[in-house]
Amino acid sequence: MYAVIAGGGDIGGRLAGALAGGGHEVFVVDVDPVVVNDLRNRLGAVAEQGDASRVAALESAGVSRSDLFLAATASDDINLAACQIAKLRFGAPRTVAVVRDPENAPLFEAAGVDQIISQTDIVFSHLANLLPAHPLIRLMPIPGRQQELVSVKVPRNGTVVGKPLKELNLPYGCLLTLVIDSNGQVKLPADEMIVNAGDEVVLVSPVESTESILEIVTEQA
Amino acid sequence: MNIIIMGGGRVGTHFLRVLVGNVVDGPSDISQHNVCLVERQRTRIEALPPRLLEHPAVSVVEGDGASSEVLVVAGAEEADAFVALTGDDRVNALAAQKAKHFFKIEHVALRVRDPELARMYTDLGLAVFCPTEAAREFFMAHIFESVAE
Repeated sequence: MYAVIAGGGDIGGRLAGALAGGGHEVFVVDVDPVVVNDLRNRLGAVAEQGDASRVAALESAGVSRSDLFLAATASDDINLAACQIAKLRFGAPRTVAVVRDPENAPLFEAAGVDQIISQTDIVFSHLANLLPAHPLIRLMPIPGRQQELVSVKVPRNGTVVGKPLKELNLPYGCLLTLVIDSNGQVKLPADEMIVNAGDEVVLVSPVESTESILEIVTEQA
Repeated sequence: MNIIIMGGGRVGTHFLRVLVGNVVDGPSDISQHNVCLVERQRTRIEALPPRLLEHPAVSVVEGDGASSEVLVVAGAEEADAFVALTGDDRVNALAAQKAKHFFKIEHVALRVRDPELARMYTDLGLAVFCPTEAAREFFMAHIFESVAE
């Protein structure tokens, strides 16, 4: 696979390293010569100094033959312009953007960017993982839909403990996708499966229903 | 019309002055247009002539016009026109697309210096003015006319 990355910072630079290490071809465009030098020292001739929101820079990076274009600079405006150039001028088959300000995400969607990674969501999900007491973890927004993948932990004295899954009475539009028990055993949900304390239930949920799911699953006796 | 101008540089302030200017100097004090200028730098706002700042048809919002929050304060929900005139092509493009697609502002125009980007945004259906391209056209026309004479 050939990946072109705009922005060789924390996200772009690391991804470039991971892709190169995995045997993929990768090329990074970054405005900062220091970043470019650093990448060259670590990974070889895989980076060039340039403005990713200029057609010429993306042309010389070979976006037209890329399988993946990732825009991960520090500014949403540059990322949007870069993705639009990659898609409209060079026909990049897959564009991915890291969006700094979550309010801009719909704009990237409207512009036809294939996948949007919200930086705020990344930070939040990491923070949530660091807080074991929190029963709800938002794993991932479903791109382009008002849905998200969430994981909820069943509390020790939860009212759902001992009931079969079919009696959970989840809001309309929710789909229970996985149950992970307290030993880490992963199970596909079945109607008669009994809920145990400490189970993690993983669901796809309409964004507006997530709060009520949390209430149902974590209600305590 | 309710008009939002983003970017209080030379072009932005000139445009603002012309939109309400006749009224500033003339006898009537009522402009046909309400114009809101959005500018990020306070020094630029402070440099505006007081007559313009105090004009009843003019309001000024300090902030980044690419932010929805700032656009709402600037009246984007009731605006008829949005003109992006900052010196940064990408910021203009982001704000203009937001104004068009999310605030559904009827008339959206932007300045884009890079001719290739200008072409791309034109193809996307935006009203783009490219000063680089305009200058090239003007000078080429001038040169070839002179040669023809």
